[in-house]
Amino acid sequence: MARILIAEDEPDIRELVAFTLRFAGHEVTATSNGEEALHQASQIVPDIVIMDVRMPRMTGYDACRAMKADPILKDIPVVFLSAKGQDSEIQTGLDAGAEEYLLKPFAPDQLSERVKTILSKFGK
Amino acid sequence: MLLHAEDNLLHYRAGYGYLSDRNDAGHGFTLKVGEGLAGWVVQNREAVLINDLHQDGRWMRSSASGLDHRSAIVAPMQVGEDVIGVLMVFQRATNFFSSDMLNLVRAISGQVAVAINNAHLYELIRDQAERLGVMLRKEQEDASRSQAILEAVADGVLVTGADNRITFVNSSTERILAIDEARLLGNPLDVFGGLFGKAANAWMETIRRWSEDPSSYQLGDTYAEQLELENERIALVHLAPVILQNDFLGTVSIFRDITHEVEVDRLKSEFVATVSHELRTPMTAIKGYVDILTMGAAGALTENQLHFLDIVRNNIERLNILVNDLLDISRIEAGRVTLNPQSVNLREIAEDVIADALRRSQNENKPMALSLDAPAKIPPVMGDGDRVRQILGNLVDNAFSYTPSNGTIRVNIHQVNGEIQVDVQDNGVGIAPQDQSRIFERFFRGEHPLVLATPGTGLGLPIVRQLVEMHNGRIWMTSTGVPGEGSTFSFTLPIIHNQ
Repeated sequence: MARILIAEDEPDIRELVAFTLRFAGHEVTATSNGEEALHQASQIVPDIVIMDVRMPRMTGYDACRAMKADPILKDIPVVFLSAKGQDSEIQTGLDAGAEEYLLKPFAPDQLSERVKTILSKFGK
Repeated sequence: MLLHAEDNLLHYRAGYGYLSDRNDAGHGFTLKVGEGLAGWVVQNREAVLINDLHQDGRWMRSSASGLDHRSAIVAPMQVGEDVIGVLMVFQRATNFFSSDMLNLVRAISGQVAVAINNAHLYELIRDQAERLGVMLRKEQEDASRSQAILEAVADGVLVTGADNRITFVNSSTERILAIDEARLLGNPLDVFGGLFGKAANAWMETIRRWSEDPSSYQLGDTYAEQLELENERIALVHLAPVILQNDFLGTVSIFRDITHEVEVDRLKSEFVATVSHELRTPMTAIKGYVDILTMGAAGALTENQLHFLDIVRNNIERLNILVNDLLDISRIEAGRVTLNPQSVNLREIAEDVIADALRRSQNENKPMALSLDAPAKIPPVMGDGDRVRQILGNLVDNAFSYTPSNGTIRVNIHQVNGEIQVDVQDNGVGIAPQDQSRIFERFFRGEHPLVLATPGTGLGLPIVRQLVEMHNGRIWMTSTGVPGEGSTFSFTLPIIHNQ
């Protein structure tokens, strides 16, 4: 079981991701934009962050870059979960410091699998 | 009488004296060369004095006039070596003319011949001058008509001569290229080098190549290039050489302002991309919750409920493929897909693709014989590995979908000249002859029940064709259209040449 922070502006998708990861046994904190996610990240210092890219107030890219610039948060793996799937968009995400870039629509069981793999890679 | 060149007959032309008052003086009377007295004179080129025509066997009397004549002098009218007619002097009395008179008539006929000849020449020159005048006027008319047409067309027209200097531009050229005629006329084409930069290089280079070696132009060769102008407008230039036999006379370039078309195309692609992207969010929710329900994460489900959720999931998958294909084709058409070219081993890719198809065969419980025929050592091609996999994967996928159970799919890879050719052959439903020309069109799908029963968007083959062409390859298909004889899709990719 890990502490997972998610950031997703679409409530239905947010609930879907949260439900999926809770069902897999994790403790989930859900936020709806990059700014909120960044704030929560400093509070709870999660094991992994799962973020949408296009969000109001602060995009996922910016939130990720801010985390990677923060000495406390920089080692937390970030996974983007986005409908934007062009090569350049994926590259921007990885350049921002993300561990992985997953595309929507996604299969919940596969998301749980990916999260499990990344967590074990980071020894969590 | 004068000898007419067109029928080689002697024609009565004029008379004076006791004959001239009469209506039947001889108008319309003709003689062949050698016929009658006049014909004899022409043939023998000799003047004669006749004391009594009634006693001369050569004399042929014309209807009425001949009766009156008794004495005659007939002399040929000669200009140099040519006899142009005869001069005839008659008298009603016999033994009227003397040899002095013969000499006189002979001398006069020479003068008359020269005068008539001069008159002919004058007529000839006047006719020719008139004809030339008419021709010149017609040419002037044609030229001004062409000029008016060229000025009236909305497309820009620019003509260069054999020396590559600009000889004509119409007002549309000035408008589209935003350049004054004065800056172009008489100048070499290089003037564009500074104006359009690199975009114009290929265009100018083609003109140069054609002018240096006109034989390099093959009939039907067309050249088209998109030029991005300084004023941010986009022009399409079409170029054709003017070649007479093997002489290069110059070139004609046609410019079309396609700024609006390009913008519309960009907006269309952007619209498709935005709509497709927006569709993904609700699809993610639908797919995700259906998956959660199916997983049993929200409680146990009956068999019927599971079956219906399966149908929902299949349709979501179908929608997902459509959105992905739409995005793919709009990005390719907008030129936003760039290849990452590297050395690609087609054999390895084909093995992977066939392994995928075998997995699909097991998952769908649809037995299919899949085989790969490729030489162990195959020259690498230049391509984007992921895209080449997409091309072959799509073709094998189609073959699998449109071939009934227990069918055969063969992938054959072989070298043809400087290219590697890949054939994907199946023994499925085939493609009806009337559908074959449309098979690479967007959204076109055949009407065979097996096609209709298979989820598809009609975008797969258009995407594949675009991708093959981006790789400088070719793609085509053959099919008898007879079910069971299947179809063969082939494409080529260029082999990497070691430098």
